[in-house]
Amino acid sequence: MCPSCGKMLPPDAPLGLCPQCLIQSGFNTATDPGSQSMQSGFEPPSLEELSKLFPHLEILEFLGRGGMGAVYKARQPRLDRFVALKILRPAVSGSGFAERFNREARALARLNHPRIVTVHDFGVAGDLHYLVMEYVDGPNLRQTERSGRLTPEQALRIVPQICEALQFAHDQGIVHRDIKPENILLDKDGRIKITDFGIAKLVGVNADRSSLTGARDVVGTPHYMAPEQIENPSDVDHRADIYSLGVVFYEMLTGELPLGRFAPPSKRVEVDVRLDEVVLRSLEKERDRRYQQAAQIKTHVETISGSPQPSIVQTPPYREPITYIYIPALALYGAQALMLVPAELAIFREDLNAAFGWIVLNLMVLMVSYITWGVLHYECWKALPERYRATTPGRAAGFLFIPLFNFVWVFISMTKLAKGFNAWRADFPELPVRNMSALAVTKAITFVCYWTLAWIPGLVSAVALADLLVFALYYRGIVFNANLMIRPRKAITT
Amino acid sequence: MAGSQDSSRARDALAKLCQTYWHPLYSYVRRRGHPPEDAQDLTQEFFARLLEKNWINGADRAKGRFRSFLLSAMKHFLADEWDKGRAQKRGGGIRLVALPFETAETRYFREPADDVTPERAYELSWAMTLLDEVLKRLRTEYEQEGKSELFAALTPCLIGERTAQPYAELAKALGSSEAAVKSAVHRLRRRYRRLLREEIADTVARSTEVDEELRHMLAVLSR
Repeated sequence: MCPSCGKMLPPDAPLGLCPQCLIQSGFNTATDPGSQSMQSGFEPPSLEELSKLFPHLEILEFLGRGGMGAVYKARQPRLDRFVALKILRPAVSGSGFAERFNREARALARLNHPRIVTVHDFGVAGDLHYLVMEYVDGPNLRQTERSGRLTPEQALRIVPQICEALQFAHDQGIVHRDIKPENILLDKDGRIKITDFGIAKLVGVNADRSSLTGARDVVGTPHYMAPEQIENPSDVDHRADIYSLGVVFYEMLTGELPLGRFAPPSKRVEVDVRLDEVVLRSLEKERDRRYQQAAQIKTHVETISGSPQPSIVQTPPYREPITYIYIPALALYGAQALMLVPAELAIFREDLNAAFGWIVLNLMVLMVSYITWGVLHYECWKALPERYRATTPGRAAGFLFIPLFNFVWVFISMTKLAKGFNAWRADFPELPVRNMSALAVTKAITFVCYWTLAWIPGLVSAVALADLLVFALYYRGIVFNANLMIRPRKAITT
Repeated sequence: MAGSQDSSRARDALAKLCQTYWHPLYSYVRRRGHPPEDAQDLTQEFFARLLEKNWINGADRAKGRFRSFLLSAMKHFLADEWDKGRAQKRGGGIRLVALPFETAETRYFREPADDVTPERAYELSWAMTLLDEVLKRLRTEYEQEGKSELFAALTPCLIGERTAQPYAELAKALGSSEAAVKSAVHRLRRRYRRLLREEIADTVARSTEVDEELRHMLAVLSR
């Protein structure tokens, strides 16, 4: 019997293996080496394995892999922060890897710059070399480019930041060697952070190509590598990063890679002609002809784009931050409206305790839901362009009146209910069933209205008014119509 | 791949394919009811005709797959032979391809017998032959590198999910680290997959058809 699929093995099974499973193994998986450049033989460890190796970390998810290894999102519970755990692919054993790793990692850990992803810790766990790095919550430059949200102005704001980071590292004697859009992260405020600094050297890829085994020696795409990096990897200095920056810059502006005989950026897109010189000089094949310092590029770019800009990339249209408040607000509001149904049914059954319980629950959820709604409206108010900020403090207070009114009403009903069902009914003879329904209906209407109003504060007042009006009408109708008495209950027979 | 312009190269490639895939046809012929000696002769004659008359270079070869082509060609051939009343004839025929018929009957009897149609027998045999061939090539590669024991130990890892392999036990058995074993297994599986796909690619016109062919074989094997 096949250990994998459980089927009976045919007598002519090749090498005693299940033919079906053998065929199954013939399909390409997503990580087929034909479709990605991948170091031969590296299997990213599973989350469980890592949890065992790193007991002081909560391993959360697998983020991805590159030529260097695999990255995972993790959390340090004691420090209550997220980190990125990078597992480096096992290098060739011996050849002083361990000491080189320690030396390089220590140098990286000393790279303390706001535009560079910090290395918190490094070491060996089991037989895996790892780095614990700052976790950056945001897309990388590649993803931003792909989503089509990168304008030339933004590119001009990003490049100086990269230059700052590079200059800082170069001053410390550290060369990145793998500058590419995937290694440039953007955080929520649109500032960049460069990651994987010096990892190429750490893993020993470019420095010692003869020691690599396997058919696929290319790490990532070579398009960003300086000519001298490809031809003579052991003799590479900081100017290789300048070349890579040039490639990235060109790609940001034009959307294409500078391959073969390429056109200057100003010929492809609407950008300042003076930028051509910056890009082309960075992309000089002879490194002596390139910019010799990243800071030079920064100065040059800033001069061209006018005064040094605050390095903030324009944030996308506002929708996103509201979603995480919006959904809970809707959910809570819906939930508390639904809770009135069992309350009503309990009253119908004359089950005092149940009714009480449900109303209390309803009140609690109602409170929380109003708080979230308040937060939501505040966030909307903060975010909307000036001309939409039609809500005044007065109106906001008016809006608050409705939820307060609802809350107080239900609270009073509850206290009456606590006195006993008959007392309650005596005070509000026609209210128990009908008013609960009225309240539920009111809330349902408000629910729908709230759903549409978040972007137009003026509607808030209208909805609040509608809420009050509907409720008032219904209440009035009930009070005036004494015929709307509850039907006599069926006696509970024993 | 058979069917390219250079005819002698095509003939060689075809001859090689015939050397590999004769047994499915033999099974088919046997399943059609012919006794062993007749089946031998018919298969032999069929291949001889195939190579001699260059049936491959037709336009229809560019579409279709070698597997289905061979079967339909064989069907036509048998019908032809029947018409010509030579179904019972023995011997003769130009032997451009020497087929190892000694093991034919043994293999034939190891194949599942009961209610299998001739076509299905052919398809099953084809799949098995393919797998046999690929595994044979894989083992030869490892033997040439002096890694026969490694191959023998890691063969069970050719099936199943990558994550479901008993890396720890293998590491212990081989006296090696788990990472090294994982690496070796991964390399083996990758090589196997590459060889399998290459072998199939030799029998189809376009590389995009490889996956289809795999699916077909899976379907055939799972019924």
